[in-house]
Amino acid sequence: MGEKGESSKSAMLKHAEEEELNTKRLKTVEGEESNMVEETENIKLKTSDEIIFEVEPSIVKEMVTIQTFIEDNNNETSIPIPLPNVTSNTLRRILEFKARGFDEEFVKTLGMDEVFELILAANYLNMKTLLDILTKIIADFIKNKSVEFVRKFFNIVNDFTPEEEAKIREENAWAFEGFECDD
Amino acid sequence: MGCCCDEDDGDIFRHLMNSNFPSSSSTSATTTTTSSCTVISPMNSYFSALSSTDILRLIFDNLPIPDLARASCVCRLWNSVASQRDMVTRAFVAPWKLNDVVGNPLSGSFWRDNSLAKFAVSHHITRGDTVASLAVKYSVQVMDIKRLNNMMSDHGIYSRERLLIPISNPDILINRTCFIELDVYAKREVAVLYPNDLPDRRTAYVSNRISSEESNKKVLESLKRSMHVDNETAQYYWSVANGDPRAAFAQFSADLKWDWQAGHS
Repeated sequence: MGEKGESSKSAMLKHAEEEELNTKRLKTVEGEESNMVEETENIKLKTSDEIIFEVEPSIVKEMVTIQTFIEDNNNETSIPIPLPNVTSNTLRRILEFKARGFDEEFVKTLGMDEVFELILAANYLNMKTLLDILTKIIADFIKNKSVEFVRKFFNIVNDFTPEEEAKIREENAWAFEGFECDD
Repeated sequence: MGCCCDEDDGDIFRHLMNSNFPSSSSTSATTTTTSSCTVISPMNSYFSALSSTDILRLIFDNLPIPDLARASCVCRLWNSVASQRDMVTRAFVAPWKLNDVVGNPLSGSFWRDNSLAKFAVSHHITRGDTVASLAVKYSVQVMDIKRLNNMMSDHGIYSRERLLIPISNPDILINRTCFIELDVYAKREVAVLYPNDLPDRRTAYVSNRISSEESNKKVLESLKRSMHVDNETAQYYWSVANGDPRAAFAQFSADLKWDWQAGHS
């Protein structure tokens, strides 16, 4: 969101080279073939902060938005594909997550801000598996929690009028009877 | 980083303010925010993700019914998403892997409980059926059948067109479609399973369709008069004839003839 914008952008530009190196290291982690870079024609993705990632086609296939784009353009993969809605940090996280086989525990180590950025990116890229896992994790945060906890946790403002809220609470009173939240 | 200036998000809020809560909130607009507006704050870090109804739906898809109900109390947007019929249906059928629930319950309280007791199989009564035979057929207890259908005795079975049979094995619900009915005997709304998922539309035992019950009453009365029999007998013949008055009368005459020929009259 807005508050992360400018300062992180410059920080990322500063560490651009290091990030490229990390990306290559990641590819080595998940595909033992370190010289696949040249042979299988990795697909270039350019994040919103102008960093170019080279990603294996098998991973890009999971990004249905990108995959569709490629197919609609006669499989033209020499030009980097722009991802205006995805930062390099986020894309790196996605690749890292994938490399770890979508380990849920890994997600739980991330901050909420980052989890939601992942969700937005996964939604934009149309990565179903990733989105299902992430939304399930969020749902787990909501289960058995009180309404107040959920609002605080997700920074949601209660925009009901007092009358509306009373009415809704009454309609759903049954869901609060004997409800012991584990906030 | 997400786009906080999406036009879509603006539309969502305009739609919410107009449709769900038409009354203006002019004087009571005070909430816990510093600004006086009553929408999800753009300063909220999670604004974009949580204001996307698509993403909210995906999140809510994982919630069981009580959590879904509580989610609808969080804010207007969550309320609009969590109370959608397909979200509620999904939460209702999820534990049983049902295909669908069809029909509109008379009261929203129907959706609160999706325990196995909410479901029943519709068994159309045919000759030779007894409560005991049905209990064996469906692997349930006689008491449970009687309780569900409010039967005082075992013999009232022939005054009914069908019995609701409680469900012993939840596996039979998998991939099926059930129909919401207010059964007049059970006196509550039940999610009913029909053979081949085809509900029997010509029924007198379902009171959602009040007007058809009244016309059925008229038919029964005329049967009673023409056959010179009591209520129970008329209802019995009507049920074994599947609601067809002419067939009921024909069956009755045939029975009479059989009685006479066998020297019983």
